[in-house]
Amino acid sequence: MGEPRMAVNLAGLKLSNPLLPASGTYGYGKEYLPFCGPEVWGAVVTKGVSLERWPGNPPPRIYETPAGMLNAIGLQNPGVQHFMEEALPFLRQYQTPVIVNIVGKTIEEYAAVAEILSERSEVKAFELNISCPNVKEGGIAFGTCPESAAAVTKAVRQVTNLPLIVKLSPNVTDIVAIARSVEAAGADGLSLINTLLGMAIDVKKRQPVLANTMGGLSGPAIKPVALRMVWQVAQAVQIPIIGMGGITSTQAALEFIMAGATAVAIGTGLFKDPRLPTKIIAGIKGFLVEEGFQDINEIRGITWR
Amino acid sequence: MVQTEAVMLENQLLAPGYHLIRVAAPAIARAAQPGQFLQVRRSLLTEDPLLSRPISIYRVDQARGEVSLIFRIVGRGTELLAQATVGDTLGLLGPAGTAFAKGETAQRVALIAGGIGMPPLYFFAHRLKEAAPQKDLTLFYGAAGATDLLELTAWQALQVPVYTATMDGSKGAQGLVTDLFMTEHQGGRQPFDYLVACGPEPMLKAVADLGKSLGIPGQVSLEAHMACGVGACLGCVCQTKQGYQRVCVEGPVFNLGEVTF
Repeated sequence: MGEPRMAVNLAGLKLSNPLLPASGTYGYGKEYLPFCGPEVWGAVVTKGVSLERWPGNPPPRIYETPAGMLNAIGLQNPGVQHFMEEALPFLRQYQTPVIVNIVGKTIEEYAAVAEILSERSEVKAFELNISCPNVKEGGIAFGTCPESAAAVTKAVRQVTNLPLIVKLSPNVTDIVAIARSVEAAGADGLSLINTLLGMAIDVKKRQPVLANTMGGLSGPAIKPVALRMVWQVAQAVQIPIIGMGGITSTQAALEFIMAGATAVAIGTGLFKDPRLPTKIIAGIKGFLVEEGFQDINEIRGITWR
Repeated sequence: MVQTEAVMLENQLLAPGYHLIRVAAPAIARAAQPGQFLQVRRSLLTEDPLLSRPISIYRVDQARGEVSLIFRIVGRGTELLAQATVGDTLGLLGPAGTAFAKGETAQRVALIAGGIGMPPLYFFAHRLKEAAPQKDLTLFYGAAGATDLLELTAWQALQVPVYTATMDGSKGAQGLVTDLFMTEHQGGRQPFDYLVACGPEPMLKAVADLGKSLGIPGQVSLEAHMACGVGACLGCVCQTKQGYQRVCVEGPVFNLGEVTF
C-alpha cells in the first residue's frame, strides 16, 4: 500500500498537508527555522499584522496554568509596511502558501491591510482575527456579535479576491450563529477557536498575575471546548474549517479532523515541542495506513457524516 | 540551537530547595556561551506542566560533553526536575539567548549575584579566567540567608574573591549585596570599572542605578516567564529604551542602562 494522500483543499488553497501554525505562535516563520521551517507546514499562518506598528501589552504577558497557559501579548507587531519589507521576502523563499493574519482597531484598518497585501503575490489568503481577547478595541469586539463579525468580513471581502478565513472567538453564547453570519457575509473559511478569556491571581501580591489582568487561555486544557465548537460549526456551515485549540498529539489532530476540520493548527503545542508538526504529520499518515484509509479527506467529519 | 533529550548524570541537592543537575549534551556543551540558558523539561510526554523552564548554564565541560545547571524549586516544573534521577532523560532546548560580553578594556570586574542569579556568573568567570587572566574579578553574592549561598567552594577554587551578604545576617554582611558592593567600591584599593549582574529585578535595578551614577558600564541578565524560548511568542518581553525586547532573544543579557526597570 502506498503513502496515504495528505493534501487538502482549504478554501481554494492546495495544501500539501493539513498542519498549520496557529497565528501568533510561529512569528513570521524565522524563529523556528532550526526545528520546523515553513517547508514543514501545509501553509504558514503569520503573526497578526496591523496597519501601523502595535507595541503590545506591558509584561508580565504570560502565565502557565494547569495543562495550559494564559497570554496577553496584545498583538505586538511591526505593522504592514515592515511586514512586507522583512517577513514576505523571507517567506517567498518557500513553496508553502502564506496566510496572513490581519488585526485592526477599526473595520477600515482590516480592509486597508487586506487591500495592501492583496497586491503581493506571496500572500495566498487572509485570516481575519476578530477574536483576540487582549486588545481593548478591535479584536474580540468584532467577533462577539454576528452583525459586527459580518460587517468586518464584508468590508474585507470587498477589497480582496483572495480566500478569506475568519478566526472566531469561543467567548460567545452561540458560536454557530457567528459562524453562519460570517459565512453569509462572504467568508471562504473559518478558524476556530481563538483563546478562552481567563485570568490568574498572585496571592502573595494580591493582584492579577498578568499586567493586562485578563488573558487568553490556550493549550491542552481547552481542547475539549475547541473540539466541541468545531464539531458544532462544521455541521452548520458549508465552508472549510481550520480546527485548533490545545492540539499536542496525533490523536488530538485526528479528533479535530474527524469533528469536521479540513486543516488543523498547532500553537501552544509548538512551545512544548517544536518538532510537533513533523511528528503529527507522520502520526496521521501512520494512522491512515493502519486504519486502511488512502486519503486524509476520507476521515474529515467522519463522526457525523 | 538544538532540541535534544539528554541523560541526567547527576542530581545533587546543594541546599534545601536548590539542585545541581549535570546532563550529557555534547552539542549544547560545544555551543554554550556564558549567560545563555536552556529550556528544560522533565519529559516531552507531560502536558502539565506544559512549558519548559528557562534555566541558565552553570558549568560546561566541553571535553566530556556535559552541562551543569543549578535551579531553585519554585513550582511544579522545577519540583519535577528535582525528582528526576540519574539515568533519566530530560528535554533540552538551547543554548538560547545572548551571552555576557567580556568588557574588553575593563580591568576590575565586579560580578554581582542575587540568589539563584549566581550560576551564569560562575560560567562567565570561568571562561573569563581562561580568556583574560589579567582581569581582576570579584564576586558580590547576596541571598536571603546562609543556606541560599551556593557553591562557595567552587568560587574559591576559581580563585575569585567572594564578598557575601545575607538579608538575615546569617552569613557575611547583613543587608543588600549592592550596598556591600558600594562599600568595597568606595573603600577598596581600586574602583571597579565593569559590572556584571544577575539576580532579582530590584537588585538589577539597583545595579543599573549604581552603574549610571558611578559611570561604570556593564551588563545585567534578566529572568522572565517564557513560553517558546526562541523568540516567536513575544511572551517574555521586558521594557527597554528601544521598546519591548524579548528576554529570550535580545536577552537575557542586556547592556546596563538598556532595560527600563
